[in-house]
Amino acid sequence: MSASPITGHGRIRRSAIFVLAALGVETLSLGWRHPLSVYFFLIAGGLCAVLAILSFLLSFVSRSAESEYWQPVDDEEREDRAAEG
Amino acid sequence: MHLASILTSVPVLLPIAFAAVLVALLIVRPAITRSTEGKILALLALFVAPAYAAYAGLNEHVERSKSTSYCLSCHVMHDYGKSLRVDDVDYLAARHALNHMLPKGRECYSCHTNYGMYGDVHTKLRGMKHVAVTYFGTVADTIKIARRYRNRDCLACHAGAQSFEISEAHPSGSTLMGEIKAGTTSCIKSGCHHTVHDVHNLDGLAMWSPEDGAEDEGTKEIEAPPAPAPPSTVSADSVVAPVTSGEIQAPPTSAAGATAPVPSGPVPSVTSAPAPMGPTSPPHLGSTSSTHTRGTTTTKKTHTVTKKRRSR
Repeated sequence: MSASPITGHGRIRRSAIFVLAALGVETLSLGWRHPLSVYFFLIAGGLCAVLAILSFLLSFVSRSAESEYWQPVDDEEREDRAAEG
Repeated sequence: MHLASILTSVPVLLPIAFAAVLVALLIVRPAITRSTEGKILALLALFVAPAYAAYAGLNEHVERSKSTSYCLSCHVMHDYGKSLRVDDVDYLAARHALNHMLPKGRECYSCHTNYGMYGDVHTKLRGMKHVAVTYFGTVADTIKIARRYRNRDCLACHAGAQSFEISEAHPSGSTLMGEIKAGTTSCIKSGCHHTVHDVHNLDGLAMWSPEDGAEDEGTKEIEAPPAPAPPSTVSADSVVAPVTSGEIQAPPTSAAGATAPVPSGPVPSVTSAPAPMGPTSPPHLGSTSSTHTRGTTTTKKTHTVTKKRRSR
């Protein structure tokens, strides 16, 4: 399994961008005086919010997030340690 | 977007702007989330502030959708909006709207909301369905109310009101009043108040608007009964009710026949008990008589005693 190039901070940043997009959608929907504006608000804004939440939660469980604080252990190194033990 | 609408949206835009600033900070420097304070800030920026901003925005959308102009923005609702200005006391919606028995600008919502628990939610979900059908579906030729209109929605305002409780048509304590309050006898379907909008028969009916009333005040000669009613018998409804056509039932004069003193001071507010809804209304509430014929244009306008008092 190859590690994702995006770091945990990258995912948080991406999550923040989605939140900012959701806020932008909300602002646009408030400025659009039309019965469909509430649909725009709920669908587009809700989609951005869900993506933001998913991206934020993914930053907790992602392998690359762990790699920032701990070095990954290779399989060979693990076998060597087992042989020594 | 008008300046006024921007200003009215300021309470909503403030939490959005606050959340946007926090989120922008997180975008520029995501590394601050390593510290404990940074994690708290991230929680605030990504969840708390956007959630509050979303709540404020949704609330603003819901409030806007309560306005009559919102309802009438759909073409199919045009005739229903027109029926709010019919100059005929038999038209229930018009009588409520023209006499300010409903909150101004929220005439549709006040009657067509659900006064039960979670009534706002149910009403707005139903309204969203109507919007979806209007824009993405096919609107039926004849629009019917989604469900039977319940007495509970009438009684939300009328129950306990003097004009309702002492009405001769359904006096308090009578069997009919019990049935009305229990919901077994419908206010509308029973035939007593069955003319609500009647949009298919609006052609040729006289319409009334506040501008018409203002014009009458200045240009037409006032014909009113000689003596106004004693102040103790005049209710707030009779003062504010803009009755301009039809045969007017004069309030009783004082026993001595002398002119009663005219009360001075501000006009009572509109938020009083609703006016009676039937032809058997008590005369002291200043209602029009039942001889008003539908569909006839006004030939002679007679002002109520209360209108004369206001002109003085």
